[in-house]
Amino acid sequence: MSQQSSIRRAMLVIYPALLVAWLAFPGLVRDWASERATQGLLPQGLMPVFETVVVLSEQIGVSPVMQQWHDSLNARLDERIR
Amino acid sequence: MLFPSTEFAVFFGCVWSVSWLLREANTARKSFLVLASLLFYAAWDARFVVMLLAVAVLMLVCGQWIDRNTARRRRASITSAGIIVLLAVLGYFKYADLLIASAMQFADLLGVPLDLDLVEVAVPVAISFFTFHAISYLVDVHKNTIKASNSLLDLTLYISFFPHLVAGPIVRAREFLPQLAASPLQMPIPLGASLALIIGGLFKKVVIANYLATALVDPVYIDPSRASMQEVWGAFYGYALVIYCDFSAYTDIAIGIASLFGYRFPQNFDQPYRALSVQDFWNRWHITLSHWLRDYLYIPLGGNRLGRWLTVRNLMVTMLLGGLWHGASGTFILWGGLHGLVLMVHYGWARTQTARDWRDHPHYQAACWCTTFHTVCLLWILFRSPDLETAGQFLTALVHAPVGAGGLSTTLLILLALGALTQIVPKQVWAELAQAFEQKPVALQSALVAVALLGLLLLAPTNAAPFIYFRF
Repeated sequence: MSQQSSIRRAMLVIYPALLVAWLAFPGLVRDWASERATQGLLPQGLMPVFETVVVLSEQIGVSPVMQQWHDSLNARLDERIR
Repeated sequence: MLFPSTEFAVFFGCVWSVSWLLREANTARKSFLVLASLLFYAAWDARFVVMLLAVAVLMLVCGQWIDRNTARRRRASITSAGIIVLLAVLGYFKYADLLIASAMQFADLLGVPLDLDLVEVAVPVAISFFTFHAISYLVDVHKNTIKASNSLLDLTLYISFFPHLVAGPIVRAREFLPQLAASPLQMPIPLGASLALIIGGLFKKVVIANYLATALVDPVYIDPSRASMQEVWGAFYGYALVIYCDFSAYTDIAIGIASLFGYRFPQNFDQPYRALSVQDFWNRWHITLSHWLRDYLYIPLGGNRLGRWLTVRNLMVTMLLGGLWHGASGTFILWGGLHGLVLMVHYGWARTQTARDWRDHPHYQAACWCTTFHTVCLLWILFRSPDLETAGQFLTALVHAPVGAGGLSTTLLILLALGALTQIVPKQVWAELAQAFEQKPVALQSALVAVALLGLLLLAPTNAAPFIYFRF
């Protein structure tokens, strides 16, 4: 019988990881939310939350670095793959 | 709403949380999951949400009606009526234009021109999948394999549960409905195995399938006559890996996500390119569809119980319809028919004394593997080509393309090797890794998942292509 975990433990593992991913690439979530808010599918009142994460991530220097790594990695892959 | 998208990550985070908050109230939890699943479906095409609900109502009414009748013929009539309605809807949306076009071509051949308008209606996303779920439910109730459900909520959740809704796996009612009796979130879940399926699936889709498709396979299939020999052969093997990494990724993620909600789905792939025969391949590829076709088509047709000739007929009919299920086009029908033909040849060969004598010999097994793998790859050409002309061009290029005009980059070769590793690394290795993960402290587990997610986000191309099986 393989070892298993409770759902509570699974949440303690997965949600922080998702939050880290959000903090690393806050622009992805902000752009998605902004598009949905424009379509009326998401309350405009939530937008400050997404903007705050973007600002926070920029201030601590995470998102610019991650975005730069993403762009350079993709550019190198594109260049070397063909 | 694609699995590897920001939208799905937000959707999953919200639905998982609320579902957990409702863990003590099973009915409320199931109702919420139905609403979430309908929202997930509406994100694709809101027009057909009503159709999904109508199918659930049909399952409830027919199931109850079958259950209340003891007369065998009457039960069979109700089951048939339900299946006819389901197939008529599927046929109208998916195959009406093929039938009309074929009728016009046939009339032309007879010299009686026929001018009919095509239906040209949008095909509801996942119609093939939810129709197959509904048919299996009605047949199982008819055969008394399961008891008819009197819960519209359970039946709606069964056909619409978002992890399997769009591209499978095809989950049998007898596997899923009993799981709805109690809230599963009170029980432990295989976290390591679920995360391995989700993260491994994302890697297969976002990295291997996406890059191999866009950099190697798609450019060759646009015009095979302009590709070099290396590119054509790269695309030949590359597409086998692309379709595997794409489709198995979807179902792996679906199985992993369902597992996080406490539900177990059946396995859908078992390293199919290790198969030693085409029959073995179909027991490893899209297993839930293969088993569905076996149980609800091949066996009712008589299976292998009615003698050699009727067995090969049943194999051919099953594979032709399996091909047609993938799409209303000549390439899919031919693909299914040729698989049927190969299965017929295998059926005949496997019964000979020579095959039995050689069965355990390593050289014979190596030859079987090589023949099976290349047969499957060859038939994938029909599956991938938009039309028979392109398939013909690709086959010609496999032999006549110029050598040395353009090669494969090291990065592409690495991606091909990574794709091949999905078939070579024994499943036990992943199971042991998942087990080791379960024993780590929470903080380390979370850090590992975060690193994996960041790696995927860094490697992901800006726009991931939709999963191939979405259109079926």
